[in-house]
Amino acid sequence: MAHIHLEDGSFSLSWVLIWWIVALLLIGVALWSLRSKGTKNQKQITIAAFVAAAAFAVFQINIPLFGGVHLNLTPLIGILVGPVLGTLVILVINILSAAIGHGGWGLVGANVLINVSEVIVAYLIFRGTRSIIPDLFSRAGIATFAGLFCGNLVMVGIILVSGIQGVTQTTGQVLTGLTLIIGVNMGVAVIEALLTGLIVRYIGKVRPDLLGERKP
Amino acid sequence: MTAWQEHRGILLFCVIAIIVLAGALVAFKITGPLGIEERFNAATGINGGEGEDAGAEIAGFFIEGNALLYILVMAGLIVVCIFAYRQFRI
Repeated sequence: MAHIHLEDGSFSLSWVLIWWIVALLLIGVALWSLRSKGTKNQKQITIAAFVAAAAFAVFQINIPLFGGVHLNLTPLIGILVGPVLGTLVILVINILSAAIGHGGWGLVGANVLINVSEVIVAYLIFRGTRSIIPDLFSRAGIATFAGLFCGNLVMVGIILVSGIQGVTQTTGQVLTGLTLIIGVNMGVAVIEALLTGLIVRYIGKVRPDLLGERKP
Repeated sequence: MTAWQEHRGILLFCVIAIIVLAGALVAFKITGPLGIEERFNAATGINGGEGEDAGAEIAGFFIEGNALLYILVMAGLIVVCIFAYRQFRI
């Protein structure tokens, strides 16, 4: 679960605008892709609504593990609806989260980029390793690990590039602190990988068509 | 399909999970039992701050942000899900 848990004002205005613009460009590409190609399967819209609701629900719940963490289900979003609809789902979740006071508005752009990277990597790993790892549980779990690890790297990259206003820490000290956050976050990724693996395996049993899998 | 081909996925998953858990325990031991915001503030060198709305506690779990707004947004999302299901099915 990668998400920048800093208050508004931590990044300078220019960096807030830069991350918002990059995120809006990404969303523009997703919207253009949807408009030009359309959704081949309208059922995907229903699934997108369901995963948005589920991800929003768990995203706000602070689990008392490792001092307090939360899941975000972004790899599951990638696996079930793909990167195009997934990007729009991520935007909706981040905006709604900021609206209820979880995360600053200024960081929505950066957090969208982090979560979209998780969606894309999980989707690519899940689809790309089908012939190597036929088992749905482990494939979804490994895709979740990869997606969340990538999201953490993007998070650290964004914070280091942007810099934090009003602090005296050196880049090395911030990097050390953020590396520890990656470590703790990846511990939570184990729970998220188990959960995603179980959900995907269940869907694979009852509705393999939703995963693009053939019935055994 | 050989036994190795059949089980390599789950073996790989377990190896990754063990490595990741070991790393997480080491990181947690170094940082100590900090909340999410405190951990970020400590990592980036930010001193305190107002933090986010602590929210309400439900069955030992805290809701991040405003709990009333959380319930309202969830209700809205459930309505959207029902509408999408009636319109497009699954």
